[in-house]
Amino acid sequence: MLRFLIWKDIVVRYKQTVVGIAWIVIQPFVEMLVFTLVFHHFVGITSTDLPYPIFVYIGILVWTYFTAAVHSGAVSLVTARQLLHRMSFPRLYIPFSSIVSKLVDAVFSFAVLCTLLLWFDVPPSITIVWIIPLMMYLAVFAFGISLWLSVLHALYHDVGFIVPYALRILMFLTPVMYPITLVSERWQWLSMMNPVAATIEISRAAIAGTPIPFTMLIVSSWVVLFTLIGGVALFQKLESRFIDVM
Amino acid sequence: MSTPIISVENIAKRYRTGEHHRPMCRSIKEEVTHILSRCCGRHVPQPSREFWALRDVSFDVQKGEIIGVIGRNGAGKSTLIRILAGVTRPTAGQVTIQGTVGTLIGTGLGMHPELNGRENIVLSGGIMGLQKREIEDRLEEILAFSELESFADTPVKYYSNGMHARLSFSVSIYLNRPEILLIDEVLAAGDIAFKQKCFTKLLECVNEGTTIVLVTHAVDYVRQLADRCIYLKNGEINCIGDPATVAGKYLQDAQKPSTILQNA
Repeated sequence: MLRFLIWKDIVVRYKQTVVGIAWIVIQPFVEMLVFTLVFHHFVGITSTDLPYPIFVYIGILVWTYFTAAVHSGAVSLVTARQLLHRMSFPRLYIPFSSIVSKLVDAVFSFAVLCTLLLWFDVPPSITIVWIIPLMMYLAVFAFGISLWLSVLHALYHDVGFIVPYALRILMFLTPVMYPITLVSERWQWLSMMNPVAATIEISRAAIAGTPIPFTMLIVSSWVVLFTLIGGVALFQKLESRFIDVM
Repeated sequence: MSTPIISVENIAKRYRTGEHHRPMCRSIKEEVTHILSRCCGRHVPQPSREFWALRDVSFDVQKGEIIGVIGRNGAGKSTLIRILAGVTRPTAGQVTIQGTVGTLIGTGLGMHPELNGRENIVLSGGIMGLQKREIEDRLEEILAFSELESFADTPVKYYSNGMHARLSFSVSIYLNRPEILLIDEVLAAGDIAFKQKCFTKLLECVNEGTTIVLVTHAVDYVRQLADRCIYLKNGEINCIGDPATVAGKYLQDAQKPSTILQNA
């Protein structure tokens, strides 16, 4: 059943747009161009180990997946209310399938990344395979957050307004367009705790072949763990309640 | 008599109909003011009205029975179906079900307007837990039954109500082979010929051992199909038994002036 829910999310997503896959590819690509222009050429942010366009594209790829997943995860229960009202099945499937189906977009963006690497003549280090477990790691985090948000969204409709706003703010706090080394010593710990920052920074290191900052992974995985456990607990606690008010 | 396949004991379901109709759904601002006023000891108990959608409902259903449920709007029919389907829990009482439950409520399970008929069949089947192969084997049969062969590749959003109902019904009846089938007012759309076809199909299922709970406003179907009938009135069982008698009682009540709002 879970498979079909995921399949549905993916098929529906690509049916609704005329350009389909092209759209998924163009969006982060254009963002990359804009970011390079603004933050590299205007503001003067530089990257050390990778050309800035590639550097920022990795950030965009990871961030785009994260926002898309959290967004669709947050509204997933309300969107699926018809189904939830008719059949009894593990309700966790709903946010889970929306998180997983968004990974498909990331695969396409990854293809663009490979093209960029060729274009800039950057031979990727073999550690590029790290990106797969890293995206899984991020998906787990997005799932944990979605559990919180989806339940709250079912109970309080304000959440639907807050989420995009909060995500936008979080984007500036995450090293998408700047390297984490630019963050002052005093605030580094905060970035360390951010699982999205960890995913981005480690992906960059993995592609450039520089040493991987494992500390970030270890510190932020605690955050992921607590988010997930808390999310599951909250979800199960409120499960019987939200169905009646949705 | 063997042990019943569905046993419902004194179930009750309460919904709150407070100021906001759905109190859990108030905005965060309201929640904060609520908590604040509570802390300051100025908590005014809200006149939260309770609405008992079901009260003290008990009945048993035997295997292979078709049981009709009739009653006016708001009598608790759909709530009963939801509880039987396991979608929501009763506030009090107990439901024991020995077997798999399938529902046939409104449109098909998880159908999506952007997908075409064929894809929706596969999707619904998948959600019901079937393998892709099993679904594909029955695909043509379903399309034939629903008389939608020529629209199989049209997105469902362009379907008429009747087409939609036909597709939903066909999908459920062919793919969903639960031991207990809960039907909530789906035979309403669709023309007479198709309805007759559905009846035949339903009776076929019953012969194979399926138990059916049929919620409907169409008293005629109940007379035609059901073995027994429940008449729900304001959340309580008014009478239960022979369909013709119960349906007669319901129709007789319907002639009288409304009594529905007395319950709150």
